[in-house]
Amino acid sequence: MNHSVSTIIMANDPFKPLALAGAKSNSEDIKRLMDVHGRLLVHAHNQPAGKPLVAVVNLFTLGWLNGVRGKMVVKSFLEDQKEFAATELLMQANGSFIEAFRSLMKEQKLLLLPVSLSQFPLTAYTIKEAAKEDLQRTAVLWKELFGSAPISIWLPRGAFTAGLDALLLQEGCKCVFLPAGALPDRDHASFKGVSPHGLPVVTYNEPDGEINNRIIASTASFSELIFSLFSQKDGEAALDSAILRSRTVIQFPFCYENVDDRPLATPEELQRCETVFELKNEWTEKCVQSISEASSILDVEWAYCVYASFHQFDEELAGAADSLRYLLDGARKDFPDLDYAHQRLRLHYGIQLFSAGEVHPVERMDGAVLLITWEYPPNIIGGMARHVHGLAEALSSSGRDVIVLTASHHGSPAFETAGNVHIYRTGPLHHGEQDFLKQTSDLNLCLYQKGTELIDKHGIKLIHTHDWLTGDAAALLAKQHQLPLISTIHATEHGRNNGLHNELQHAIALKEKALIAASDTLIVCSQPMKEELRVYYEAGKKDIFVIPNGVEFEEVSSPFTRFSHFQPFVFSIGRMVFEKGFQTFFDLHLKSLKKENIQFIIAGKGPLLETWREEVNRRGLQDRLHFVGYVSDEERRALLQTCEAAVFPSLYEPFGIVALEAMAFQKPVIAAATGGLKSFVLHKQTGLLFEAGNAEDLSEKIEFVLDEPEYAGELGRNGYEMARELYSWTHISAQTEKVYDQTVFIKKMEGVRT
Amino acid sequence: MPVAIERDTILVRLVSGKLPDRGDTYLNKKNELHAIFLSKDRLYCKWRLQPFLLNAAFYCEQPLNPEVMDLRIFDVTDIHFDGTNAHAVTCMKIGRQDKDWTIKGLKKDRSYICELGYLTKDFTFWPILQSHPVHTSYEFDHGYIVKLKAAEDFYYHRTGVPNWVEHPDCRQTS
Repeated sequence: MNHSVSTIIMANDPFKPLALAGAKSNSEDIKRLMDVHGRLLVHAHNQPAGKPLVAVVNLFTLGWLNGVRGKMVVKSFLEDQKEFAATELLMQANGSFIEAFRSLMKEQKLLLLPVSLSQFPLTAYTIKEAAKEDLQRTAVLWKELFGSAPISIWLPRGAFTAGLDALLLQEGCKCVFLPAGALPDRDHASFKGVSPHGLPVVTYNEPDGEINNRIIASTASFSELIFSLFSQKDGEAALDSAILRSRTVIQFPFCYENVDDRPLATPEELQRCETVFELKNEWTEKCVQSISEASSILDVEWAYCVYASFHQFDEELAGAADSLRYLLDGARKDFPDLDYAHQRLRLHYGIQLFSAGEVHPVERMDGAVLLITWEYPPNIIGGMARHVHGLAEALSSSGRDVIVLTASHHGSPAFETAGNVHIYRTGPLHHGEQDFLKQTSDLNLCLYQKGTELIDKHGIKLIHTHDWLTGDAAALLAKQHQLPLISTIHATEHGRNNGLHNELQHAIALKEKALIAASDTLIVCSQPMKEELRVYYEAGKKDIFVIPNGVEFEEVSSPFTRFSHFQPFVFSIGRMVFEKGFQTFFDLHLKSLKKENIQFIIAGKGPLLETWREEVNRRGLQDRLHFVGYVSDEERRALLQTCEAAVFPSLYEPFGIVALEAMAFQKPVIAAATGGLKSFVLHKQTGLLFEAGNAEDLSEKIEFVLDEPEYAGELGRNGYEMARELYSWTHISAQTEKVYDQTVFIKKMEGVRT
Repeated sequence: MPVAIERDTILVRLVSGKLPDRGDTYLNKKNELHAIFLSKDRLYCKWRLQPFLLNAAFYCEQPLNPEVMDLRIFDVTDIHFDGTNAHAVTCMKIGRQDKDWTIKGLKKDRSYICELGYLTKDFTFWPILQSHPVHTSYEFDHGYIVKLKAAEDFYYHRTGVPNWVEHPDCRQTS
């Protein structure tokens, strides 16, 4: 066996997501990021199988590269930098560094080691359990990216004390790396040791100064260890016992890199992190539960705050701390912004990490799903048909058997298959019934009868219904067959009418309550809807999951609206309140815009609508600025489809889904550099950012977009790609599947046959 | 092996009925003392001591000077520390408002525990918070040989808990 000294490449570059967000593909930050990771790919590719390139990497960076932002940066970089050495390798991996790394790791040409997530010395935390949680978080993120536990977790500054070996073992690590200076007899080259808890110890030499981007040497025994690890069969946990027996048991009390020459940390460095540590004390288990399926965002944000604080990335720290405080504030009030939480996880950190509360891994449910819906294409009445259609197609693509049961529709067959989706249509018997409730009951009885037949025929294991219209059939089927019932509540009678004002509305609300009571789990499309169910529909004790709707990518059938005479126009929409920043429009340099006939349509209602309309008149801008008030969904989409650009001037905006919607229409988006908008409007990539409240800056950006239609088109196309990725049905169906799995799991725990 | 005592929780229980009226949230705030190595011979002590706990301590034992606290470092190498049997103790006078302190001149291959408290009217030390124990690096290059038997015993036989100081997170786990 070859016991030559192994080399380790330190590719732990600083991670600054805010700096990367606005950077062009030829900026130094992006070039450096691509260069470091591209070189890893090329060198690993050239290694013989079984003799891997070993590299220590920054897990935040890898997560970011795996996220939507990272993927876009890689894409545009590859388009711009034709000479990039790793282009071919990346193209083979669909432009994904993670996929490329995974493939090389599988070929035993690459071995990556993450530094513990916060990169804070694990011996220096002044919070109980923080070191343990740091290691846990690192392992969880790593598993999400690479599918298995890391071989080891690199210790920041090499800081180790007895007992950390036990914590590393708990996370599935196979060895620990310690600085050679920690070795009692300094016999680094031939050292082969194992810790008292049974973790092989590998030592590495410590160059003076910063070791990032340096190549360091580890002991000979590491080669032997790698060989043993690669010889392991899948799922084999323990290392070859012969390897362990040949090692000296050694107990290290405390060590770190260059222990004889410099301190591990200074009091100033530790004090710098104290404010962030205090933040950790601000949230309780209740907050974590309140933020439900995205609860892990709190820990990940906090870990980044520690990282930024320790490394003195002040601007990045301010951004992450703001985000954490915003999420915490919502969680404390039991009203967390889950959309924002998901955004942060997927855009910023490139991970999903569903429900930290799911302590026990939930098995994927077997069997088919019965989707019951009032409408299904080609029968399209409202938005539900498209929603259920999108969901059914995506679930089916992920390998799930999907049976759709819906009302009959003139011209559509009673049974058809579209791809792998089986669609059954039946009822009502009396299409001409004038009493709406009676006709609905008629339909439900038909659906119930057909459903009974389908449950046995297709081995259905779960029923998923949409709104009260098919609630009776779903509840009856679930009860009779003892199947889990999930209901998606798209809207409520109370919400639609701003209260219940007549007998019909009360009757419908009762049906809605009955469905909610019969359901095991509820899905809603937004956080306010969740609150509505809790407050008005007595759903306080139910599991309610928020899964946002997909963004519509289809063009509207008729782009004509009552505003069609305003051409060409820039569009904006939002609630008429100060924080939406529409007052910025008043000070635009309208004359400097070359397209002098450009109009501004600003839609939405709110307390300031009349005030702003009066201001328009006072300034004599009636022929340019149009505060048009409320617009319907159809009108909004038509306006988005026909505008020259969409502007979102918010002074405060936690998320800004409407900007994503504009992106779905391939329109260039100009947004204020605030909050959530900043997280997906990437300057000069997926849109343009301007300083919030700065009319001059906004004027320049609008002028730029109007004068450079080709460039504007490119921004629109990039934005479209990003919106697709974020709000694709694939993603939404993946979230829905998790709700299915969890509901089936809970039902099983209740001892009900499934 | 040195063991830390949860003194703060005992104190709260002792006097809970007679404390000034405080909300639960207030009482739930953490009181803790951490001892962190800055280097092989420097220890950084950082504490959180809530006023309600200090008031409770003053209620139990009147301070000689309520503005002056005592930070003590005990050498507890190879003993079960009981407050009276330390090999050595060093005392530092600190202000009531201080939140951290750096202790220099640690010896190699020794176990230490820190305590934060004050002198009472009768000039005795009254501890409020105690840190987890820490152990410094080996004194000489082959120092690990002294620990070899204990390490091997633990490795091969997994006998109870290790008889050396481990990372506090590990101790809480086990």
